[in-house]
Amino acid sequence: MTMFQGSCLCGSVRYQFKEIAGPYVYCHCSSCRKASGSAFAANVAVPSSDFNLIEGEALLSCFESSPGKRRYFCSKCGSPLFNKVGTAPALVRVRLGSLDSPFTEPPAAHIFTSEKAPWYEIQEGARQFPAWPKPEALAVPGSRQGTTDVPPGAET
Amino acid sequence: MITGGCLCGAVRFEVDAFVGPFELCHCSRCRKVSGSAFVAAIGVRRSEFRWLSGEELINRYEAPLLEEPPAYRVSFCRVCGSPVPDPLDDGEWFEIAAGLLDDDPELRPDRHIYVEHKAPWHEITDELPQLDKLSLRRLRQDSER
Repeated sequence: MTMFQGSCLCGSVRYQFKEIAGPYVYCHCSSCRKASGSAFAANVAVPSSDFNLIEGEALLSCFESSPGKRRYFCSKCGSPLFNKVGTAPALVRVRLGSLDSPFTEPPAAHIFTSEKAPWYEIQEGARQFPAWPKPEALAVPGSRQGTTDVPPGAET
Repeated sequence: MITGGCLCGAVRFEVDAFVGPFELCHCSRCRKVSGSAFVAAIGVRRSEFRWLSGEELINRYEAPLLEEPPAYRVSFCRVCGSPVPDPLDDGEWFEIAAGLLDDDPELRPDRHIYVEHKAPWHEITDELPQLDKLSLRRLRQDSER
């Protein structure tokens, strides 16, 4: 079985996991932009049961950006590594930029495009949603989708 | 005036105006720092940048030198991990991660850089120039002449 591995910039924190659970999205919300310094965050859901920290667990710091949403980063180099959502404890959401193993799957959608950076134009072909997509339109594993209010007509 | 800050809001800054360049860097270190496909780095003159709060909460990490100096360095908020501005070096201008900005910087990205290191899951589909290390070096040398 394929084993995925990832690490932070300084290499102090290393993780591995066996599989990615379902599609992933580029999130353009202002929190994801501030956490990354980029135009969007790219997070894949991984079953918590086979996500393992193989080095540097003691160096992890965590910031709770909203109740139950914990963003983990390396305290030595600042690299964002994964987050955990209290409402979806069975999954860990791993930040793709930290992944060292080959992975070629493109994102299924762009979400929270209503909060998108004015300087970034979305041209990739994936679908776009102003906030969370309705679960029947696109289920995003490991997200708090369905636990927050989606504005009426939010799906495009 | 353009303001910006980290995710937790402890580190805040303001900028009179951005001068560019505005580059989307796909190198492996920038991908690690952002956790995303690239870092969006926008140039500002040192004289047009001011801290508003939280400077004492900034940690710095300098990566091992790969080729010639300067070494790759990242500054981040120790509370939330956001990559924050790092105006420490000499020089007229430096770069800020555009994701931190609260307001429209009024500039748009000029180019993708270090595209030879691009994440295989991310496709560049816009019309911006795509520069690898050598072509970026050539561009920088030409602009210094």
